[in-house]
Amino acid sequence: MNWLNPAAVGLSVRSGLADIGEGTRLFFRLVALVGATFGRMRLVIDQLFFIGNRSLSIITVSGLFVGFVLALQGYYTLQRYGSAEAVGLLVALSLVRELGPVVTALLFAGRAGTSLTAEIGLMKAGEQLAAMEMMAVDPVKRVLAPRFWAGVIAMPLLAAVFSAVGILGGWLVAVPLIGIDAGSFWSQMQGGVGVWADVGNGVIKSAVFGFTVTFIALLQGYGCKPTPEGVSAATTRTVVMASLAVLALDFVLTAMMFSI
Amino acid sequence: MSGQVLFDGVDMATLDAEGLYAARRCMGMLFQFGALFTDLSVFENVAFPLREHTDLSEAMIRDLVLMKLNAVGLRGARDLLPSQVSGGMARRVALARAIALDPDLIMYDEPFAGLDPISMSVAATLIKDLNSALGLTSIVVSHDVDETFLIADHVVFLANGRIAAQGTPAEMRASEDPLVRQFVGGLADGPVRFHYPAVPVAEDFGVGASR
Repeated sequence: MNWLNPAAVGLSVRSGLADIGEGTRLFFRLVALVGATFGRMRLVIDQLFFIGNRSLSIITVSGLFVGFVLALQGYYTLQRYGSAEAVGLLVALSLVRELGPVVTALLFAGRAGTSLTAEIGLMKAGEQLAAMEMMAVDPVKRVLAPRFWAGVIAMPLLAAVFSAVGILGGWLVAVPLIGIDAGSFWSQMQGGVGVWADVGNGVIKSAVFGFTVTFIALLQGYGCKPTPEGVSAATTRTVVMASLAVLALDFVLTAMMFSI
Repeated sequence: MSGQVLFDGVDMATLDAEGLYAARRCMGMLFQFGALFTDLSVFENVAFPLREHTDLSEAMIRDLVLMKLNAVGLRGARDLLPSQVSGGMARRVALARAIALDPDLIMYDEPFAGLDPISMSVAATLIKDLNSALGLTSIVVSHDVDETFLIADHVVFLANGRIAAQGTPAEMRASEDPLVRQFVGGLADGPVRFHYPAVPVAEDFGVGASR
């Protein structure tokens, strides 16, 4: 049994610890570079366009369909209790508190996270990052930090777009299609959704997911082996790790917000 | 292992990250495959170090970039993307980028590898001309003996992790050292064996073995 060999166990534990250390250091460097990054707003705006705008189409379409389905399923359950008008409230609460941030983060990992990992990995494979270092330009500052902060900004905005489009989708199914009264659809939603308790929760969640997904994508790209196999493995790891981290963090955050 | 790497009188091993970045501002490096930024045009690649390290006006940057590109003969290729230029041209663009900040030292990683004869002699001429025109130091890592000997002032042979021989190109050509003779003459067999270390032939092919 090779893996029971103490030397192999020691090696894997030590290299695991080293990876955690490297990741933590990179994270704190990226956070500490906030001032320097926003001092060169041009770079952040470019990345916001690449990360944010290019994700808009998939986020809008997904939001619309999630809204459709939520309204249908919500109506199916609620009409048994004679409160079909509450479907607007159900759609809004589900989207704003839960599905908006989580589904957006999962889509964001697949759409923007993978492209970040592959881009950085291929820059590394093409010696572009090394060339930058030889020009006395710090790649973490010049390449990683603008992408990191652009991702952190883009994610809550995308989640907000997702929720808004989802609510419109819910309205399309509930009011014109099923025939629920438009007045009670909107007034129930207006009365039942709290700005801080519900929308605020969702915004906090989506910001945390923005940090998580963007950081994992950059870490995987920056740390990947500079070969075709290395880049492909890193891209896969980005999606797997980011998705799992989002789902696990979602539970933790939801539990914490319930107890407050 | 022992020794020091001195740059401008400073031992590089004693510097922290900040000190290294400061020292690198006086160095240029040419990577084997150019390592151009694939998302930037030829012009922007050469402008990159200027934009990062100086506050020059756009007109000044334009003039400087075109001067550097002119020095490598690619002023007309300024709007091309790295994917649109040949390997030899990419290396010349990278060279223009390496001299953008007028460094004191340029390091070349295999500048002749994989080039056709014309590009190769262009590269050798450029290295020699830039070296004398800008008054800088060039370190060229290469295994192309003929081209390197044409432009080098001092040659160092590295073998098995050690300095095997050093001197002027003429001294190296006249050397009696078997390793240098094999390398300079391009002989197939000598101190560096033709065969990768292996078990004896007889053992692999079963000659003389009774089964």
